Amino acid sequence: MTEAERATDAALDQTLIERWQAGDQRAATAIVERHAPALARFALSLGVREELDELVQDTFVRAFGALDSFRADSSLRTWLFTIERRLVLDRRRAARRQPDHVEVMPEDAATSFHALDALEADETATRVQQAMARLSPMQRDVFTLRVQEGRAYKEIAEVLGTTEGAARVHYHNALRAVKEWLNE
Amino acid sequence: MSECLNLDVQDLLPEFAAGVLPASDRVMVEVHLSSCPACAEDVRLLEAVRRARPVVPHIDVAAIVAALPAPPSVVQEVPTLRVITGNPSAPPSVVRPSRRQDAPAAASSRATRSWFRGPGLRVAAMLTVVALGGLSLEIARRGQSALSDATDSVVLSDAPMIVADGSDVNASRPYADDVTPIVPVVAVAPSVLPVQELSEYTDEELALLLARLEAWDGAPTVEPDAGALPPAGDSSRGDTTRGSGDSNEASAGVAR
Repeated sequence: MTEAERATDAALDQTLIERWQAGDQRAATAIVERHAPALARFALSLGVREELDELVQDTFVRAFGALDSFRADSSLRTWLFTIERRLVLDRRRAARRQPDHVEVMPEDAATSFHALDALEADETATRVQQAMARLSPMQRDVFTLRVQEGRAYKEIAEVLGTTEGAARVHYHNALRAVKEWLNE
Repeated sequence: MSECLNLDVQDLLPEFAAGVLPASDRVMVEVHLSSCPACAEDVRLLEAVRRARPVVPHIDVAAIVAALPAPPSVVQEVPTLRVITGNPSAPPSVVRPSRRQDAPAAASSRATRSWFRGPGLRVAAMLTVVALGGLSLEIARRGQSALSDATDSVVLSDAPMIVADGSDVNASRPYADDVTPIVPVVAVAPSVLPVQELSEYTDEELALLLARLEAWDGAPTVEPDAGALPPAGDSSRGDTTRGSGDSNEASAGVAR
């Protein structure tokens, strides 16, 4: 996504936010329609398989409850990604405290990806997914946000709580690793 | 394959693979790719990664929107109360009791509440009690008057009742045969006096009556002697002062 497109997107989101704050419920629908698929996709890339709808809904509920604190320093989608990732981490922490809960760890994402998507993705895509599942969580999140969601390094750094330079390094390392695993 | 050292181009490759790069940048990248097999391979990989994006399940947008909190403007409007004044064209005023500028309305409300909590409520309660008391007294008085009237004229027995004019009361009662006779409840009604005035008795008769009254302990011990009471005047004007329900007993009471 180019800077111009990001600016246009940000302006549109800001307009929708202001209309919703003025009482226009259709603006809320427009916001959800614009960002829900990306949130669901990002959640899948984070290894979330259970209660995906609930996670996306909780993300929006929390975001709309705190829209007053949203500053347009970053894009709305980046902000939503940040909230969703925190929710995922909270769920994982809560799941670890439940002894009988079988948690899907990031390392299991390859199996999950394969089980869920094998029938719909071609062989190359399946191999790519398996290769990405072998990345470290930070590398995978950076790679996903950069390639599949088109986020800039600055936004990625904001979502993942890291620096722009570190995000760039993680991206290049992830790209090199995936390339090597695909060539094995 | 050697690595490419053109970091500016490498940073643009994800957008190029996504097809969102502006025309000027796209041309520059295409020129670079024609001479850089490493970056060309990266582009193919990035395109595969994009195609491998997880399939997003159906998202119920309506359910999400329904779960969202209300907009701030809506939340602020809910607790307000709009007061429509006499002028329909005038904008309605908004009452927020907690606001200082609405103090007169709030003070009026407080004054109304304090009146009900203060002496006003007590006065109203007292008036209610007095009114109810007066009403109950009036009802009681009318009821007693009616009862008195009834005992004056109807009294007290299933036997033929004789009033001062000698007529049969039950005979004047419509449907008298169909109803239960009036049960005597008042022994002596104030207006029910002996039908024979004392002045009509002779001195001897009065002396005899006084003697018998003095000897009478108030309870009959023997069967009454029908012939003991000297008739005075018309014998058909019997005693109705006793409410025993039995004319014989009534006669005996007086006879003793």
